[in-house]
Amino acid sequence: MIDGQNLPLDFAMPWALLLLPLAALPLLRRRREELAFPSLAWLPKDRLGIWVERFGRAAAVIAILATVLALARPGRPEWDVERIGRGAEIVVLFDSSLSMDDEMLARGAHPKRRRDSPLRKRNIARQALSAFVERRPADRFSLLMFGAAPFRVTPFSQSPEVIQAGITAAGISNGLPGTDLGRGLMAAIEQFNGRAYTGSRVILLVSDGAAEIDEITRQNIRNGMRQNRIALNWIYLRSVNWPRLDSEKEPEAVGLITDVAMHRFFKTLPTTYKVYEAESPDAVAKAVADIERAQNLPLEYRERIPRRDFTPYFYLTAILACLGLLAHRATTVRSFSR
Amino acid sequence: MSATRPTDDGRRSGGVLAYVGNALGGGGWLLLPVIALLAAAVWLPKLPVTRDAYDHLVIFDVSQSMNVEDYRIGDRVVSRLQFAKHAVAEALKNPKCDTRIGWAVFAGRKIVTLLAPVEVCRNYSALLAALDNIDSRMAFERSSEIQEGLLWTMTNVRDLKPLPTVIFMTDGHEAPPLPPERIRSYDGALGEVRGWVVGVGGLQPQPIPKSDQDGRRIGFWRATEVLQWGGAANVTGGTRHEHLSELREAHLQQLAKNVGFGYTRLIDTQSLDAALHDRELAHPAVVETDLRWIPGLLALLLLGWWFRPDQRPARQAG
Amino acid sequence: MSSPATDFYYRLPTRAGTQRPGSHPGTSHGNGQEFVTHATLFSRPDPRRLDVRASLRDVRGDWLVRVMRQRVGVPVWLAADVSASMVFGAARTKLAVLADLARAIGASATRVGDAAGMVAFDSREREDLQVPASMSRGIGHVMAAALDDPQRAVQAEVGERHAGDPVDGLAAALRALAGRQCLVFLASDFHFPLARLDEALDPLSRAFIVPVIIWDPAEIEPPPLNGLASLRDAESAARSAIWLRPRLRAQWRDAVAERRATLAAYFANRGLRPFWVQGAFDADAMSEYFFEANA
Repeated sequence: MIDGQNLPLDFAMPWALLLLPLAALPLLRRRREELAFPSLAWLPKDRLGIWVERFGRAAAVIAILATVLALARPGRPEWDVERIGRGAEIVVLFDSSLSMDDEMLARGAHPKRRRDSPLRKRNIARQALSAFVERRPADRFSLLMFGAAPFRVTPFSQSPEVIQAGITAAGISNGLPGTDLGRGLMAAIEQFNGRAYTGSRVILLVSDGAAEIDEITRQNIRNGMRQNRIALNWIYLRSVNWPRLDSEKEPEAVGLITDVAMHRFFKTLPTTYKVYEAESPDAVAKAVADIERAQNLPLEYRERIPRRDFTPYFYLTAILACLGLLAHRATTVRSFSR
Repeated sequence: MSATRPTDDGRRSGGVLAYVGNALGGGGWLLLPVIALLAAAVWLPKLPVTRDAYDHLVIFDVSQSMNVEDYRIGDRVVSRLQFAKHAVAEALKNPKCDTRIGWAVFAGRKIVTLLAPVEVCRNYSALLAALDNIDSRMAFERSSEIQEGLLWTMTNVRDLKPLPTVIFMTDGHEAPPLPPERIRSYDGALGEVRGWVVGVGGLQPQPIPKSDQDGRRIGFWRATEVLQWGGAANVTGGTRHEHLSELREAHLQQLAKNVGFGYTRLIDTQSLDAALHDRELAHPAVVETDLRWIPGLLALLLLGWWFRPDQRPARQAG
Repeated sequence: MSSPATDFYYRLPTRAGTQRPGSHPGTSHGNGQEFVTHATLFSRPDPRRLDVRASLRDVRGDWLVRVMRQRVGVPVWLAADVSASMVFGAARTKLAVLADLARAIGASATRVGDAAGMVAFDSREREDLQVPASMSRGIGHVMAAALDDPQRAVQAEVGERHAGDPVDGLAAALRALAGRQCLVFLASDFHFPLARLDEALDPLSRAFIVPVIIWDPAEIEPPPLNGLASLRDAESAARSAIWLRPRLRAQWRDAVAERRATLAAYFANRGLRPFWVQGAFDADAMSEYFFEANA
């Protein structure tokens, strides 16, 4: 497909245009279509006749021209329209640590790492996210995975197909060692750097736990969230029966020191923070639905208008030209015999 | 000439039919199949056609030895990883629309799939943007056990549906060195997962740049900092200069053979063609195909023939 | 191809000074039917032609002999225009009509014992089509065969390329007949400017010229159907198109009438009377033509 940013028309098969010279064929002489006459000198000059003859030639040129152009598959290239919709710019920060391969089980149960288990946290998160992306065509998504290091899978993209492919990939990759949430968050914040503010901004953290973040990084995160005005949503894939992060008990008592510490840190962020504690696939789906409702602020977004194919119109033009040719022939005197 | 030939002037009998007859006379009927073909071209829906299609998962080795700069793009010296990305991007430039491609990175003993294969035409720019993001900071482990990684790939790539073919781009530098006794043979069925190992790198041993976790250069690896291979030279490529890296082709060929992959070396941007367009890797895909060009072209040929110019007979000598 | 060779009566309206006996009025004395004068038997010792009655009336009492004028034969030439425009005709081409004329000339000449021959021209002299004058019986068919040849049509197409003035060809072809006493049928459609025709005809000072103007009905009467006619000039290959309609037909007919008048005036000026052929050659009309010429 040739680049057609400013062109009103582009061609999907531009090499067919090499046939364009064929359109000059009708301008060449075809003696078999002519009537020889002994002496034109004694016939009157007839402007009408000359114009009717030119009409026939023009119809022929148009017929060939339109067919060649149709073969080149003309169309208006896909283009973007600025629209105001409801949605958000969302960075999905997907925890890819080993524990995400565990099943979502009640406390005490021995978590198995079965690849195809519907209860596998990674699978649950993947399905919920996939459905989320599918329902929100106006949103712009960027996808990051993090383990010991952040993986910038895709920058902000309008292509839902690529986001889905990224989510699929995140859902099948096996766990990475380490959980450096701090670097992950920083990488997520960086995704917004240099982007014009066009609507609400969200980092959607999907993880089953947290990790220590040192004080310097915390400060960086705080600053970054403030500067870029980013809200944080945390889908916390909690194991069943574990106490809630906000429970009154001492975190030490519930064995969730890092997670609760992180929760408390997030609450100190200058921007909106919300945690969705999900302990079952249904709960994850509900959390996602909740986010969906919450993030419905006006967003300037580009709608990509797909390419419009004009090929049939060109074929129709060719047909009309051929009918014109037939009409032209119908009125043509083709012999002097009587 | 034509005046002497007794042709029928259809209109003599009068009426509309006479005009129709006149239009179709003298070869004018040829316009009817032209119109019919053009009409077919207008209304022909997309038809399913079985074609060769490719589903590639391109795996980039992002270990530190891939930072060795022994390739050139124009005048610029670039690293193995950069050149591998460049070669893949070049191969995408003329995409076949039934090719799907996805990215993964390899480090340590595992691969991480970044993008499941997606259709190239529609997602060209997004694919390139994602490819651009791949760098050695993604090395989630410091080691680089290529044999293990390849075997791991053979099992884990099956999670992707449909099963893609694997293009594994690496320099073959095992870190730590692989002792010959740890060579494992693949116990799965050969031919189930198909693909190519693409050898990346020059044959001259080069110092390996060392970088910190944020990808900043901090000099080169020194001989004392890496695990050297003490034994005799062997097929796994273990050497006494493990701080230097070169493309270890013999090892990669052995690995590829073990899993039933092909092997090719990345020399220039064309080298990937053998792997990416290997018909062995193609699978038949039913593609909704626009076949309007067939009646369109036929109509054009008829029109061209109909409007062919004719020449006055050549003058005979004497 | 060989339509029955209808012959026609022809006779030179002038006296010819040729040597060969024949059927035309001659200038020499000899065996003939045409009385000139009386001579004495001494000066013309031919007792067979003794005119007894005149001798008796003669005052000097001389024996008088009738002096008769010898009838003579003159060669008959056909100067045939084979240019591209002659390969035209709705039913038959003008060349085919010309071939009919050639056959008729051959048959007529043979009947009265004249030699017949042909010269041909388009924009040049066509020596390849020339038929030397001969008294042989099949001479008309030889001439007709040279004219009514499908090859002529091809040559006409080719001929467009070097379309020149047919008068040049005619002049060259007639050069062989210059100053000779003969009968010349100049057959053409005369689709060329008449301005220089004098140059070609003047050398034929002693010949009797019959301009035969051959037109096809299709060129003088426009087709009856309305519509587009995409035309090519047979001589110059120029293109034109006309939309046939009543007004145009009137213009067409006017143009034909005007041309006819121009030709008639031109030949009248030279003391010639054109013979018109439209569609088919009529031998009786030709006989009529000569009766009137000799009247």
